[in-house]
Amino acid sequence: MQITFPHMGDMVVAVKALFQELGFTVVPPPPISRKTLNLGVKYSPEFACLPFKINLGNFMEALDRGADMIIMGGGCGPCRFGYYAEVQEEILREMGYDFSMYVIEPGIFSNLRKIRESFGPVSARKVLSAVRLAWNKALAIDEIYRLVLLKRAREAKEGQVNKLYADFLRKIDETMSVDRVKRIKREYREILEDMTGAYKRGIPLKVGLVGEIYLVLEPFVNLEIEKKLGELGVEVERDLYMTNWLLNFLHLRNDGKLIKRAASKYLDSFVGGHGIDTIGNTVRYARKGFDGVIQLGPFTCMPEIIASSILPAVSKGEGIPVLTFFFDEHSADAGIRTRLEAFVDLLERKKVQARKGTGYKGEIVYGQ
Amino acid sequence: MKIGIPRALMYHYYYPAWQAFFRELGLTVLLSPVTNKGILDQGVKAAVDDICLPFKVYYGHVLSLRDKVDYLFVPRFISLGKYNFICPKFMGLPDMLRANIEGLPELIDPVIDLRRGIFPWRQVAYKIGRKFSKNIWEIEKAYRRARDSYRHFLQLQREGYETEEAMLLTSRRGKIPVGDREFAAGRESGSDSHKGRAGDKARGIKLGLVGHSYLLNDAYLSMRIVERLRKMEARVFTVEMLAEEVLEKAARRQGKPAFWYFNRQIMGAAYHLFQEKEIDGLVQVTAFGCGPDSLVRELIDIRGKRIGMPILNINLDEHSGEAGILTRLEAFVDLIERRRRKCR
Repeated sequence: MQITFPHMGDMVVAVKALFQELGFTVVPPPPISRKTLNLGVKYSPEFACLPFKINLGNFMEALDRGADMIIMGGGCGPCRFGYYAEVQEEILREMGYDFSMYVIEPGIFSNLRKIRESFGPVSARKVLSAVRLAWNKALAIDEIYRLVLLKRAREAKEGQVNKLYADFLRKIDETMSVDRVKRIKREYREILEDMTGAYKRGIPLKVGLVGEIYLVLEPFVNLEIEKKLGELGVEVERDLYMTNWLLNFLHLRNDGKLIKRAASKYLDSFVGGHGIDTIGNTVRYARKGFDGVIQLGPFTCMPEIIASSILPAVSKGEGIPVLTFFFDEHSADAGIRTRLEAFVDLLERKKVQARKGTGYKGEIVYGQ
Repeated sequence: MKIGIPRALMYHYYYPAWQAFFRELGLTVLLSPVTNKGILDQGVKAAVDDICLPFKVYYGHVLSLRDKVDYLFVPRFISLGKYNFICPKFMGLPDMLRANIEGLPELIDPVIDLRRGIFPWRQVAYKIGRKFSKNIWEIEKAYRRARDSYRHFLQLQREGYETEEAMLLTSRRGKIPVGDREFAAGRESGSDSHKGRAGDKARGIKLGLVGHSYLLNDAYLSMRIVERLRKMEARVFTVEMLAEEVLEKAARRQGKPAFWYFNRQIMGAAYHLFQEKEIDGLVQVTAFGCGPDSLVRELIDIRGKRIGMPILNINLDEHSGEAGILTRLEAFVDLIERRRRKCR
C-alpha cells in the first residue's frame, strides 16, 4: 500500500513522518506547481473553490507516481471542504484511476473501526510513537515559522530568514527522533530570536493574517503573500496554524470562545469554515494594536464571503484598515504585489502621522 | 404595525406559513414587489461582489422595504433537518445586512436550527410571538394557523401547482379544497400541460428541472425557464413535486449525500428521476458563485453521463441574457426530440 495525501503548507513533513513511522510507504505528491494547478483546474468543476482544484491536482500527480491509497479529510459542513472527498473520488474514478480512499470523518469509534479495516492491525505502541514524532515535528515547524513571520521584517541580508527556514525544514524532515527534533528546534529558535536588527522600513509595522486556513497556510496558492510582506518590512502574525487548529478541533484548547466573544458584536453565529475566526481575530488584532489586517480566501468561498461583507463594519468600528484578497487560478503576482505595496504604504503613513499627532488618524481603507 | 418580508430566498419555501403567522398576531404583512431590474441593480450595488445572485437580489428586496416597515423579518437559518445544514450565507444573513445597509428597521432574526430540541418550529414561533403578544394562547393559535397553511401549501405543490399559484391558493384558502382532482385536471387540458396525461401532445417530452426554488421560482432571475419549457410542450418535473421521503431515499444512493438541505433534495430529485427513467433529459439551473451547487452539480453530471442522460446546465448571473437562455433551451428540447425519434 502506497499512501498519499494532499499538500497543505509544510504539513507534508509531519504527515509523512507519521505514516513512515507506522511502517507504510508514503508517496507524497510532488510540490505544488503550475502543472498541479492546471491538472486540477482541467478536471474540477468550474466553480469549485481553489483548494478543491489543487487537491485534485495533487492526487492525480501522486496516483501517477504509484500511490494507491488517498488519505483525505471529511466533515459535515456547512463549508464545502466536508464534501470534497466524495466529489474528488467520483471524478478520479470516472477518469479511470484505481485506488482506495480513506476519508477521516468525525467520530472516534467509527474511525478506529475503519482504520482497522483499511490498514490492518497496527500495534498501539507503534501508533503512539508515530503520533508523538509527527506531533513534535508539526509543533517545531509551527513554532519556528511563527518567528520567521516576525523576523523577515528585520533581517540584515535579503532572503536570510528564508534560507534559514529552508535549512531547518530539511533537517526536521531528515531526522526521525523526537529528541533531535527538539534540539533542532531550540537551535533555530535561538538564531532567530537573536535577530534584533533594525526594521527594514525604519518603523515596526504589524499585520494580522486572517481567512480560510488552506489559503493562509499554503504559500503556492496565496502567491507567497507572507514572504512578500516580509520583504516589505512588515511583521506578520496569525492564529491559524495546523497544530493550533488540531488542538482546538480536539477540544484540547478553546480559542473558539474567545473568538466568538470578540466577533459577537459583528457576527453572531457560526458560519462554517473560518468565517467567525476571521471576524473575531480581526477584532482581537485591532484591540491588540496591530496596524492592519489582511484577509485571504478562495474565490466563491462561502464563509469568507460572509466575513468579507462584514469586515468593512469591523474596520470602521474598531478603526483598523483591512484588505481582502480572493484567490483563484487566475490570480497574478503583479496585481497582488501592487495592492500589497499600496496597503503597506498606507499603514506606514497612518502610523507616522499618528505618532506625530497630526490628528490624521481617521483614515480607514477597506475593500478588495 | 407593519412587518416586511423580502420576496426572495426563503420566501419561496415558507411564505404561506409566515404570512398566516404574522396576520394572526395582528400585524400587517408587507411583501416587497416582484423582482425587477431596479431591485436587482440596487442589490448588486449594496452587496459584496463575490456573493451569489440570489443574495444580491435579497439585498435589493430589503432596500425596497427599508423605509416602509417597522420590522423586517430576516430569520437566521442554520439547519432544516437532523444531519443537514444549509448554505452558510443564510447563517450570516442578518449580520451581513446590518453591516452593509444603513438605516434598517428592527430585524426580527430568530435562529432556526432544526437539529435539536423537540418541536423546534413551535419554539421559534413562541420566541417571535412573545415580542408581539403577551397571550400564549394567541401565539399558539398563530402557530397552528401557520402550520396548517404550510401543510396546505406543500400539498398543493406536490399536486403540481407552481409555487406562486400554490401560495395564492393557500392565502385564499377555503375556495379550492386540497386534492380537488377535477380542478387540477381541468387546468391540464388548458394551456399548461405539466400535470400530465392530457398534456402528452405531439412533442410531450418529459424533462426534469432541478435547482434552488429561490432561483427557479423568481420569474425575473430564472427568466421564466419553467414557463418556457411548458410552452414548448414539455412535461416538467421539479423538486417540489416530489415528497421529502422520496427525495431522501434517492439521495442516499450517493455514498455520502450532500449535507446542504436543498442540495440534498436536488440530488435526490435528480437521482430519483434518473432511476425511474421518467425523464428524457435534465435541466440543471445554478446560480453563479453558488458553493454547494458547484460540487453537487458535478456529481449529478457524472451520474447522468453514466446512464447517457442528456443534461443541460444553465448558470445564471446578473448578466445572463434572455435570448441566450431561450436559444439553449430550444436547442436542448430539439435535441431530445430527435433522439427520441431515432430510438423509435
